[in-house]
Amino acid sequence: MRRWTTLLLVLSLSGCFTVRHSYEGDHLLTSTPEVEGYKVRHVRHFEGHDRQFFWIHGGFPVGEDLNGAEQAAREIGDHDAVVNLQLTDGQNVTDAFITHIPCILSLLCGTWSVWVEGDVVDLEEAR
Amino acid sequence: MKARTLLAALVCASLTTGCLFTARHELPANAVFGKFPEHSAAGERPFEDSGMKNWALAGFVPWTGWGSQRMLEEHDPGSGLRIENLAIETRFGTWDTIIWVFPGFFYGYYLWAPRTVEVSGSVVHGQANGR
Repeated sequence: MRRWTTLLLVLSLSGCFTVRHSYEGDHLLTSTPEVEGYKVRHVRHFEGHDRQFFWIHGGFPVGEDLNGAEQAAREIGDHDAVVNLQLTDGQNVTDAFITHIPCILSLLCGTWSVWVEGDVVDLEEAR
Repeated sequence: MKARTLLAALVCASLTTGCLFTARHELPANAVFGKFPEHSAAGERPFEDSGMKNWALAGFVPWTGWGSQRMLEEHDPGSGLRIENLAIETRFGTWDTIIWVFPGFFYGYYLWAPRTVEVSGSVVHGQANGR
């Protein structure tokens, strides 16, 4: 009985620790160093990290959702694009500690992280 | 007692290495978040795909090597086409949860913990500089 109760509880929380990387704007983000049809002018390199807190095995997110693509797009500013984009999500040592010790093996709560890295560039039409 | 010791060892290993459920998303050459400046919605074809990525020991050891890049490469639109407006989502879905609850009650998670990776986007015609 206990097992079924737990299963139902956990299934009701499926979708937990969800991370969605997406971007709806007018700029362009790619993992490659070049953009087809354009010359790339390097502006600067960036690296970033974001962390989100979730209640009850990741079922109830708190604050702004993790989104590596949106985070990278915010770095573009007045420029055109991001190339060499690297997106990673998962748990580092701090997330693992929070999730497994004070949050009691994620039953009470937990945290998840996103890391982004890339180069902001301007695009010029190739001739 | 042995199970408790094993569990403690796994938690310690996880905390020491500090890299659990790490999914790195690399895009193939013709796939982008956002859209090209000369984007045209004509002939746009949406697609989506999902798969289960497996880890052992509470996300400590990945034992299927594929990630979002491989899933996207399977949707390679071919010459002259691109994938735009990408979205990549990772989560513990229903099947993931069933898998780690059933085998060993809650602690099945410490033996086998899958996570779902879902990709979606639009295949569009790619004409450099709109010409």
